[in-house]
Amino acid sequence: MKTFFNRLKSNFSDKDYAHNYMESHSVSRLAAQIYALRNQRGWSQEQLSALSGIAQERISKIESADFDSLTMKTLQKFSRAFDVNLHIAFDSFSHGILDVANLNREKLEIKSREQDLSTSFTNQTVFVNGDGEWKAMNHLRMVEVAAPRQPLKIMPSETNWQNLEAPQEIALHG
Amino acid sequence: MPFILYDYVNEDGLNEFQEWTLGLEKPHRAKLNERLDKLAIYGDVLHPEMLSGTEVPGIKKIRCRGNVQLRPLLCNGPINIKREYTLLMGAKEVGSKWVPRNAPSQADKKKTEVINDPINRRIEHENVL
Repeated sequence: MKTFFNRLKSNFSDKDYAHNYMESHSVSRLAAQIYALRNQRGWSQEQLSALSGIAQERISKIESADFDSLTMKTLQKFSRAFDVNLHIAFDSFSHGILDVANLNREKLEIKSREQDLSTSFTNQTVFVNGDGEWKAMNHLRMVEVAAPRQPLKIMPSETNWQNLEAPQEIALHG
Repeated sequence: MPFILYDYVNEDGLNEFQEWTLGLEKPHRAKLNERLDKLAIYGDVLHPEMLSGTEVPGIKKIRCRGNVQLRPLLCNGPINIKREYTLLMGAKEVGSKWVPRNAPSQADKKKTEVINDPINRRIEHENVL
Protein backbone atom coordinates (compact mmCIF):
# COMPACT_ATOMS: atom_id res chain seq x y z
CA MET A 1 0.00 0.00 0.00
CA LYS A 2 2.91 2.34 0.70
CA THR A 3 3.91 2.00 -2.95
CA PHE A 4 0.35 2.89 -3.91
CA PHE A 5 0.41 6.13 -1.87
CA ASN A 6 3.85 7.10 -3.17
CA ARG A 7 2.81 6.39 -6.73
CA LEU A 8 -0.32 8.52 -6.49
CA LYS A 9 1.58 11.31 -4.77
CA SER A 10 4.10 11.27 -7.58
CA ASN A 11 1.49 10.95 -10.36
CA PHE A 12 -0.57 13.77 -8.90
CA SER A 13 2.21 16.26 -9.57
CA ASP A 14 0.52 16.33 -12.98
CA LYS A 15 -2.57 18.48 -12.45
CA ASP A 16 -4.56 17.11 -15.38
CA TYR A 17 -3.85 13.51 -14.37
CA ALA A 18 -4.74 14.20 -10.72
CA HIS A 19 -8.10 15.76 -11.60
CA ASN A 20 -9.06 13.04 -14.04
CA TYR A 21 -8.13 10.31 -11.56
CA MET A 22 -10.10 11.89 -8.72
CA GLU A 23 -13.07 12.68 -10.96
CA SER A 24 -13.20 8.99 -11.76
CA HIS A 25 -12.91 8.20 -8.06
CA SER A 26 -15.87 10.50 -7.27
CA VAL A 27 -17.95 8.69 -9.86
CA SER A 28 -17.06 5.20 -8.62
CA ARG A 29 -17.41 6.22 -4.96
CA LEU A 30 -20.88 7.57 -5.61
CA ALA A 31 -21.77 4.42 -7.55
CA ALA A 32 -20.55 2.26 -4.67
CA GLN A 33 -22.46 4.31 -2.11
CA ILE A 34 -25.76 4.23 -3.99
CA TYR A 35 -25.33 0.47 -4.34
CA ALA A 36 -24.49 0.17 -0.60
CA LEU A 37 -27.43 2.34 0.51
CA ARG A 38 -29.87 0.45 -1.67
CA ASN A 39 -28.64 -2.91 -0.37
CA GLN A 40 -28.62 -1.67 3.22
CA ARG A 41 -32.34 -1.00 2.82
CA GLY A 42 -32.97 -4.26 0.97
CA TRP A 43 -34.40 -2.46 -2.06
CA SER A 44 -34.30 -3.53 -5.68
CA GLN A 45 -33.38 -1.00 -8.36
CA GLU A 46 -37.07 -0.91 -9.30
CA GLN A 47 -38.03 0.01 -5.74
CA LEU A 48 -35.41 2.75 -5.64
CA SER A 49 -36.68 3.96 -8.98
CA ALA A 50 -40.25 4.18 -7.65
CA LEU A 51 -39.11 6.04 -4.54
CA SER A 52 -36.72 8.44 -6.26
CA GLY A 53 -38.42 9.03 -9.58
CA ILE A 54 -35.16 8.12 -11.34
CA ALA A 55 -35.52 5.55 -14.13
CA GLN A 56 -34.29 2.03 -13.25
CA GLU A 57 -32.05 1.98 -16.34
CA ARG A 58 -30.42 5.18 -15.15
CA ILE A 59 -29.91 3.73 -11.66
CA SER A 60 -28.28 0.68 -13.21
CA LYS A 61 -25.88 2.90 -15.17
CA ILE A 62 -25.10 4.97 -12.10
CA GLU A 63 -24.41 1.91 -9.94
CA SER A 64 -22.03 0.56 -12.55
CA ALA A 65 -20.17 3.90 -12.51
CA ASP A 66 -21.05 4.30 -16.16
CA PHE A 67 -21.76 8.03 -16.16
CA ASP A 68 -19.90 11.29 -16.51
CA SER A 69 -22.08 13.66 -14.58
CA LEU A 70 -25.08 13.84 -12.29
CA THR A 71 -27.10 16.96 -11.67
CA MET A 72 -27.61 18.30 -8.16
CA LYS A 73 -31.30 17.61 -8.67
CA THR A 74 -30.64 13.88 -9.24
CA LEU A 75 -28.43 13.71 -6.16
CA GLN A 76 -31.18 15.39 -4.14
CA LYS A 77 -33.67 12.80 -5.41
CA PHE A 78 -31.39 10.02 -4.14
CA SER A 79 -30.92 11.90 -0.87
CA ARG A 80 -34.69 12.08 -0.32
CA ALA A 81 -35.30 8.48 -1.35
CA PHE A 82 -32.64 7.18 1.06
CA ASP A 83 -33.63 9.85 3.60
CA VAL A 84 -30.01 10.84 4.23
CA ASN A 85 -28.19 14.15 4.23
CA LEU A 86 -26.49 15.12 0.97
CA HIS A 87 -23.05 16.48 1.76
CA ILE A 88 -21.03 18.01 -1.06
CA ALA A 89 -17.70 19.62 -0.30
CA PHE A 90 -14.28 20.36 -1.75
CA ASP A 91 -11.34 18.54 -0.25
CA SER A 92 -7.56 18.25 -0.48
CA PHE A 93 -5.91 15.73 -2.78
CA SER A 94 -4.16 14.05 0.14
CA HIS A 95 -7.55 13.36 1.75
CA GLY A 96 -8.74 12.13 -1.62
CA ILE A 97 -5.88 9.64 -1.89
CA LEU A 98 -6.66 8.32 1.59
CA ASP A 99 -10.33 8.04 0.66
CA VAL A 100 -9.46 5.90 -2.37
CA ALA A 101 -7.70 3.45 -0.07
CA ASN A 102 -10.10 3.54 2.88
CA LEU A 103 -13.48 2.74 1.42
CA ASN A 104 -15.55 0.00 2.99
CA ARG A 105 -19.18 -1.00 3.15
CA GLU A 106 -19.68 0.36 6.69
CA LYS A 107 -18.35 3.73 5.65
CA LEU A 108 -20.71 3.91 2.70
CA GLU A 109 -23.84 2.83 4.57
CA ILE A 110 -25.80 5.63 6.26
CA LYS A 111 -28.76 5.29 8.60
CA SER A 112 -31.96 6.93 7.46
CA ARG A 113 -32.98 10.18 9.15
CA GLU A 114 -35.36 8.66 11.72
CA GLN A 115 -33.01 5.82 12.69
CA ASP A 116 -30.12 8.23 12.92
CA LEU A 117 -31.85 10.90 14.99
CA SER A 118 -33.44 8.38 17.35
CA THR A 119 -30.00 7.37 18.59
CA SER A 120 -27.79 10.37 17.88
CA PHE A 121 -27.26 12.92 20.65
CA THR A 122 -29.43 10.94 23.10
CA ASN A 123 -26.72 8.34 23.78
CA GLN A 124 -23.96 10.81 23.15
CA THR A 125 -22.41 13.77 24.83
CA VAL A 126 -22.09 16.88 22.72
CA PHE A 127 -19.16 19.06 23.66
CA VAL A 128 -16.79 21.66 22.32
CA ASN A 129 -13.17 20.59 22.06
CA GLY A 130 -10.12 22.81 22.56
CA ASP A 131 -10.29 24.07 18.98
CA GLY A 132 -13.84 25.31 19.48
CA GLU A 133 -15.21 22.48 17.33
CA TRP A 134 -18.49 20.77 18.27
CA LYS A 135 -18.18 17.00 18.74
CA ALA A 136 -20.59 14.21 19.68
CA MET A 137 -19.13 11.20 21.45
CA ASN A 138 -20.60 8.03 22.93
CA HIS A 139 -20.79 8.07 26.74
CA LEU A 140 -18.59 5.03 27.16
CA ARG A 141 -15.78 6.62 25.22
CA MET A 142 -15.71 9.60 27.58
CA VAL A 143 -13.22 8.09 29.97
CA GLU A 144 -10.96 9.94 32.32
CA VAL A 145 -8.28 8.12 34.28
CA ALA A 146 -8.12 9.65 37.74
CA ALA A 147 -4.91 9.95 39.72
CA PRO A 148 -4.39 7.02 42.15
CA ARG A 149 -4.84 7.62 45.90
CA GLN A 150 -1.59 5.81 46.69
CA PRO A 151 1.63 5.14 44.74
CA LEU A 152 1.33 2.20 42.34
CA LYS A 153 3.71 -0.72 42.45
CA ILE A 154 4.90 -1.99 39.07
CA MET A 155 5.06 -5.80 38.73
CA PRO A 156 8.37 -6.54 36.95
CA SER A 157 7.53 -10.22 36.40
CA GLU A 158 5.06 -9.37 33.64
CA THR A 159 6.98 -9.04 30.41
CA ASN A 160 4.42 -7.78 27.94
CA TRP A 161 1.94 -5.98 30.14
CA GLN A 162 2.64 -4.48 33.52
CA ASN A 163 -0.09 -5.02 36.10
CA LEU A 164 -0.61 -2.40 38.73
CA GLU A 165 -1.31 -3.52 42.28
CA ALA A 166 -3.86 -0.88 43.03
CA PRO A 167 -6.96 -0.88 40.81
CA GLN A 168 -7.08 1.87 38.24
CA GLU A 169 -9.67 4.41 39.00
CA ILE A 170 -11.80 5.33 36.11
CA ALA A 171 -14.44 8.00 36.09
CA LEU A 172 -17.19 7.75 33.53
CA HIS A 173 -18.85 10.93 32.47
CA GLY A 174 -22.31 10.70 31.06
CA MET B 1 -3.04 -4.82 -2.27
CA PRO B 2 -5.39 -7.77 -1.65
CA PHE B 3 -5.70 -8.61 -5.37
CA ILE B 4 -2.88 -9.04 -7.87
CA LEU B 5 -3.43 -7.71 -11.36
CA TYR B 6 -1.63 -9.30 -14.29
CA ASP B 7 -1.30 -8.24 -17.92
CA TYR B 8 -1.51 -10.71 -20.78
CA VAL B 9 1.77 -11.13 -22.70
CA ASN B 10 1.73 -12.40 -26.30
CA GLU B 11 3.95 -15.14 -27.75
CA ASP B 12 6.63 -12.57 -28.65
CA GLY B 13 6.78 -11.44 -25.03
CA LEU B 14 4.96 -8.15 -25.73
CA ASN B 15 2.69 -6.74 -23.02
CA GLU B 16 -0.23 -5.93 -25.30
CA PHE B 17 -2.35 -4.38 -22.57
CA GLN B 18 0.41 -1.95 -21.66
CA GLU B 19 0.86 -1.08 -25.34
CA TRP B 20 -2.85 -0.32 -25.60
CA THR B 21 -2.72 1.80 -22.45
CA LEU B 22 0.24 3.80 -23.80
CA GLY B 23 -1.84 4.66 -26.85
CA LEU B 24 -4.57 6.28 -24.75
CA GLU B 25 -4.77 9.98 -23.98
CA LYS B 26 -3.69 10.98 -20.50
CA PRO B 27 -7.20 11.70 -19.13
CA HIS B 28 -8.28 8.21 -20.19
CA ARG B 29 -5.17 6.64 -18.64
CA ALA B 30 -5.90 8.44 -15.37
CA LYS B 31 -9.48 7.17 -15.29
CA LEU B 32 -8.41 3.68 -16.25
CA ASN B 33 -5.76 3.66 -13.52
CA GLU B 34 -8.35 4.70 -10.93
CA ARG B 35 -10.54 1.74 -11.87
CA LEU B 36 -7.60 -0.67 -11.85
CA ASP B 37 -6.43 0.59 -8.45
CA LYS B 38 -9.93 0.02 -7.05
CA LEU B 39 -9.96 -3.47 -8.53
CA ALA B 40 -6.61 -4.26 -6.89
CA ILE B 41 -7.74 -2.88 -3.51
CA TYR B 42 -11.36 -4.04 -3.35
CA GLY B 43 -11.99 -6.50 -6.15
CA ASP B 44 -15.64 -6.18 -7.12
CA VAL B 45 -17.00 -6.08 -3.56
CA LEU B 46 -17.91 -2.41 -3.32
CA HIS B 47 -19.79 -2.11 -6.55
CA PRO B 48 -20.10 -5.41 -8.35
CA GLU B 49 -21.62 -3.78 -11.41
CA MET B 50 -18.37 -1.97 -12.20
CA LEU B 51 -17.23 -5.32 -13.56
CA SER B 52 -19.82 -6.52 -16.04
CA GLY B 53 -20.06 -9.74 -17.93
CA THR B 54 -19.79 -9.90 -21.71
CA GLU B 55 -21.39 -12.25 -24.21
CA VAL B 56 -18.47 -14.66 -23.58
CA PRO B 57 -18.73 -16.45 -20.22
CA GLY B 58 -15.79 -15.75 -17.95
CA ILE B 59 -14.74 -12.59 -19.81
CA LYS B 60 -15.58 -9.38 -18.02
CA LYS B 61 -15.35 -5.72 -18.92
CA ILE B 62 -14.53 -2.71 -16.78
CA ARG B 63 -16.68 0.30 -17.49
CA CYS B 64 -14.50 3.35 -17.84
CA ARG B 65 -16.35 6.32 -19.20
CA GLY B 66 -15.21 9.44 -20.96
CA ASN B 67 -15.69 10.76 -24.46
CA VAL B 68 -14.53 7.24 -25.44
CA GLN B 69 -16.12 4.20 -23.79
CA LEU B 70 -13.07 2.24 -22.70
CA ARG B 71 -13.85 -1.38 -21.94
CA PRO B 72 -10.70 -3.23 -20.91
CA LEU B 73 -11.40 -6.95 -20.91
CA LEU B 74 -10.24 -9.24 -18.13
CA CYS B 75 -10.94 -12.44 -16.28
CA ASN B 76 -10.80 -13.63 -12.69
CA GLY B 77 -7.64 -15.60 -12.09
CA PRO B 78 -7.35 -17.57 -14.28
CA ILE B 79 -4.92 -19.42 -11.99
CA ASN B 80 -6.10 -18.22 -8.57
CA ILE B 81 -9.62 -16.97 -9.14
CA LYS B 82 -10.02 -15.54 -5.64
CA ARG B 83 -6.87 -13.42 -5.56
CA GLU B 84 -6.06 -12.43 -9.12
CA TYR B 85 -7.36 -10.68 -12.20
CA THR B 86 -5.67 -10.85 -15.59
CA LEU B 87 -6.09 -7.93 -17.98
CA LEU B 88 -6.42 -9.63 -21.33
CA MET B 89 -6.82 -6.81 -23.83
CA GLY B 90 -7.91 -3.24 -24.32
CA ALA B 91 -11.15 -2.57 -26.13
CA LYS B 92 -13.77 0.11 -26.65
CA GLU B 93 -17.49 0.10 -27.14
CA VAL B 94 -18.82 2.37 -29.84
CA GLY B 95 -22.60 2.40 -29.77
CA SER B 96 -23.15 -1.17 -28.71
CA LYS B 97 -20.39 -2.55 -30.94
CA TRP B 98 -16.96 -3.75 -29.91
CA VAL B 99 -13.76 -2.20 -31.21
CA PRO B 100 -11.95 -4.40 -32.14
CA ARG B 101 -14.73 -6.63 -33.40
CA ASN B 102 -15.37 -9.80 -31.39
CA ALA B 103 -13.13 -8.44 -28.64
CA PRO B 104 -14.58 -10.75 -25.93
CA SER B 105 -13.88 -13.84 -28.09
CA GLN B 106 -10.33 -12.63 -28.70
CA ALA B 107 -9.92 -12.08 -24.97
CA ASP B 108 -11.15 -15.60 -24.31
CA LYS B 109 -8.39 -17.03 -26.56
CA LYS B 110 -5.81 -15.02 -24.66
CA LYS B 111 -7.20 -16.35 -21.42
CA THR B 112 -6.65 -19.92 -22.67
CA GLU B 113 -3.06 -19.03 -23.57
CA VAL B 114 -2.51 -17.74 -20.04
CA ILE B 115 -4.01 -20.88 -18.52
CA ASN B 116 -1.70 -23.05 -20.65
CA ASP B 117 1.47 -21.11 -19.82
CA PRO B 118 0.91 -18.73 -16.89
CA ILE B 119 4.62 -18.15 -16.27
CA ASN B 120 5.39 -16.79 -19.72
CA ARG B 121 2.07 -15.46 -20.88
CA ARG B 122 1.35 -12.93 -18.19
CA ILE B 123 3.25 -10.39 -16.16
CA GLU B 124 2.35 -8.41 -13.05
CA HIS B 125 0.50 -5.27 -14.06
CA GLU B 126 2.52 -2.10 -14.09
CA ASN B 127 0.68 1.19 -13.87
CA VAL B 128 1.29 3.53 -16.80
CA LEU B 129 1.18 7.27 -16.07
